[in-house]
Amino acid sequence: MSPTIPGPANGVTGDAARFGVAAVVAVLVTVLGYAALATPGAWFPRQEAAAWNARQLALVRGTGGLVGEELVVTAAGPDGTVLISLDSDLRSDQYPAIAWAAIDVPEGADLRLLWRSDIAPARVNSVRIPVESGRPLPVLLAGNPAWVGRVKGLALFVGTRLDRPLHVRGVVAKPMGAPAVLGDRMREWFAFEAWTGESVNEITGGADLQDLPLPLFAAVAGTLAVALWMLSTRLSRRPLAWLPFAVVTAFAAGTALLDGRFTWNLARQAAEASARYGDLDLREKHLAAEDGALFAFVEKARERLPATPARVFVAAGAHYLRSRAAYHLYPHNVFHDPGRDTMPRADLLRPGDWLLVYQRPGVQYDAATRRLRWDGGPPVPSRLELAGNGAALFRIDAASATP
Amino acid sequence: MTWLVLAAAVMLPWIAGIAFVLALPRRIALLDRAGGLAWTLGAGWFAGVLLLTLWMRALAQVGVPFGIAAVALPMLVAAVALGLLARPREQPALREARAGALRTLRGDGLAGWQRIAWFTLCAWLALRALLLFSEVTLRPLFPWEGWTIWATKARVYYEMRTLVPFVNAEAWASAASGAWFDAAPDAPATVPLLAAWICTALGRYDDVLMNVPWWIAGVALALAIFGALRQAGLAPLAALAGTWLAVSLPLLNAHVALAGYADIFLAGAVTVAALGLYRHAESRAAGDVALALAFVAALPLVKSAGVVWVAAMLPGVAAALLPARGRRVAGILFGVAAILVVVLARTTVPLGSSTLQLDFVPQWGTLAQRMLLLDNWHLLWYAAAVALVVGARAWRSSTLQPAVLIVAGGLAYAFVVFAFPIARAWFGEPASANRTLLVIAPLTAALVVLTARDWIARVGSVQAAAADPGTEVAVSPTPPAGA
Repeated sequence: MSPTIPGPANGVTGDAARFGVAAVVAVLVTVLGYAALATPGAWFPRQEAAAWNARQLALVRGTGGLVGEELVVTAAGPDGTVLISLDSDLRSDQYPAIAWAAIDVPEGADLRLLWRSDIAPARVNSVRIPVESGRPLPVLLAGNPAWVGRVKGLALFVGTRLDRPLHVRGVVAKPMGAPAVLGDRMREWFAFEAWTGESVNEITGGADLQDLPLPLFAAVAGTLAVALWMLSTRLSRRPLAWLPFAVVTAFAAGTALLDGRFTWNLARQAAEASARYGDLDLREKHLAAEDGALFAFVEKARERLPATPARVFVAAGAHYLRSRAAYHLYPHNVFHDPGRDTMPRADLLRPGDWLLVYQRPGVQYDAATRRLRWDGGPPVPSRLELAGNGAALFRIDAASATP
Repeated sequence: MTWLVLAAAVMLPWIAGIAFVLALPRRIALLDRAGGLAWTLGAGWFAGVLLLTLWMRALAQVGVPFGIAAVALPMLVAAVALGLLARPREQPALREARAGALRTLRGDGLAGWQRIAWFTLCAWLALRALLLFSEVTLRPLFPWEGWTIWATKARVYYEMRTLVPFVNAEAWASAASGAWFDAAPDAPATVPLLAAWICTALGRYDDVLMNVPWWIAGVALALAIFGALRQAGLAPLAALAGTWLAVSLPLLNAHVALAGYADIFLAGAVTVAALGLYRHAESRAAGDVALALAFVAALPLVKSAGVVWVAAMLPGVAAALLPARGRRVAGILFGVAAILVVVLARTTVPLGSSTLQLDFVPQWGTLAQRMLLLDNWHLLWYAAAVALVVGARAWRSSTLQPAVLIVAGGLAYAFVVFAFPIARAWFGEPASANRTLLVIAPLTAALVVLTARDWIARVGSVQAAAADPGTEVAVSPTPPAGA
């Protein structure tokens, strides 16, 4: 039962109309106010932003490859660093800002933008890129003494070992005029946000990095609309009885805007999932997934393993691959280090145990003596049961397992 | 055939849960109330999940292997028995409840912009559900903890056809056999058992279709919130708008689309428990409070941090059970918790070979970014701040008090795990405060809607006293506590 009570006596339509006008004015004021704050130089420069996507990037140091529209770096190079580069030809005075689009940057990582200019081609310049929530922030280079001449090459340097795959989507050089600034915001708001490992922890709402997040814009514009409506109501000496409706309307409109954007993104995500996995059976879906190559190897490994659960140790350099390999091996009695890249202690191995190694440097097998050793430790008698690309499955020898 | 089996597998616990909710003691039929049917369907899913997994635990305890007959037949018998128990009271109301639901769905009684808004919102929610269903049924298990904590157990339980122990690394190394290891061996078995049941019904380990219960959880949450808002006196359109607000939260949607985490089940249990207490404050039905307490008690079975969530909900539970002294009891509980936190932050307590101390390391910027700037929650926390300003006075004396205290308890807990990183490790909470906030976010949304309703009614009442009656507004004020 919904009892009714009297609402505002009269002028509801007038209140709604005034609120509509206030909302339009509020949106305009918010947009122009932001443009005034965010445009560093001329409002209307001539040149466009220059952008490079993941396909145009070269992974110089580190392990990884293209997955969809992302360059996914699964492991750092032998020296523990990652270097991604691209060729460019930019006039530095026209592009005062560079923004890398990447996620899953390790916490506290030493992240740098490197560049070379035609003024001093032999010299590699660098500037530190601030990282927030695993994402690099745009770097303003206007005023940097090395940001001169034509920029002939850009690179992203990660001086920290990766604890999970790094996803790089591209890089943008920005002229930063007012239409470009506002256009950037629109593109950021409506950029496709694909599901990542972080999506269960955080939904950005568009591009990974946003100078003006859409929720803040909606909140500011909504608050301003209510304030303008209150001002006009007061000036016309009318009561503020419609205030709750004004607040609810502003909130509902803002939520509708945000949820419309989210729904559109979800539809694109669903279309992508359908294109990738539609009409595939379960096995094919796994083969089409990010770790398809790993799944294929584990599938072969499972054929070598006994039907009943066996003890299987898993080692892989990358946290993601180690944990994924373990997952695919259950219900076998799997053991791996969920936190660090470690090999099993030799004293834990028993005759009949298995060891699956996937993309993990430092493991050597001597086929002649059937000895396996890792990280300078003692040799362990074992048999190579299966070998793949950077992957192997060993069975610990029953005769003389533990040294 | 697969889809039929899957449908039967999810309907089994759902029907049992619905029967359980209907059978709980009350004087007036649950289905007699506005929103009663939606509430029953929504709460019934979460109750059914608990019943199913409790039964599977019992089977494992007595050594009966999981199988379709061993799980489904007793659940069906229980559902029929509970249904028979509820029938004398609920059967007469069922026909009218169904007819009322159809009328509501058709938008009967709505005209003009309200009718347009009703069908727009219905279509919006239906589209959302469709897109999420597509995601859930296409993508192999995707999110990290899904395959490092929960599905690891699900697969082993399914293949071994029973509950097997998961132990930590040291225990695993010393165990002869029969003990498994994963990234969180202490995580409770409810969610893995639910997934294992789906696989048992399908006859194969399928880490795509076993995620369908997560989608059902999203739908059930929407139904429960709609039912609770309708029972609170909101008109269908306002209740639907409130439901949209609650279930459109992007992070909640991510936990449906990227199924595999336990958080949405924790959020469902907390929301249904809090709304059950809200219903109890109005209905005084023993069944409402019993259901709420059952969900509170079940929290530790859903996630390790559920134990702490029980503590966080205690002030709200006290306010619901002891209306006269609830606020004082809640104040004492909050005070004790605050003193404990301050003492632990200011001192070092020796604890065997280690020490116990809370290091205060808040990152306010990150918190503000996650709550207000990124699109995790749309405008929920802005709205909650406004609701605090306009509703604080009303909250103290209204039936909303238990829900308010539960949200406050949840926020206090979220603050502790956010500001004291070591607490995250103790409670098994993730680094992102968002996942902690997710548990109370749907309830907060419902609370915001109820507060807005009260605010509109209050202003309308003041206006009515000052002027001639004019436009009719379909709202009703929250009755005082104990009414």
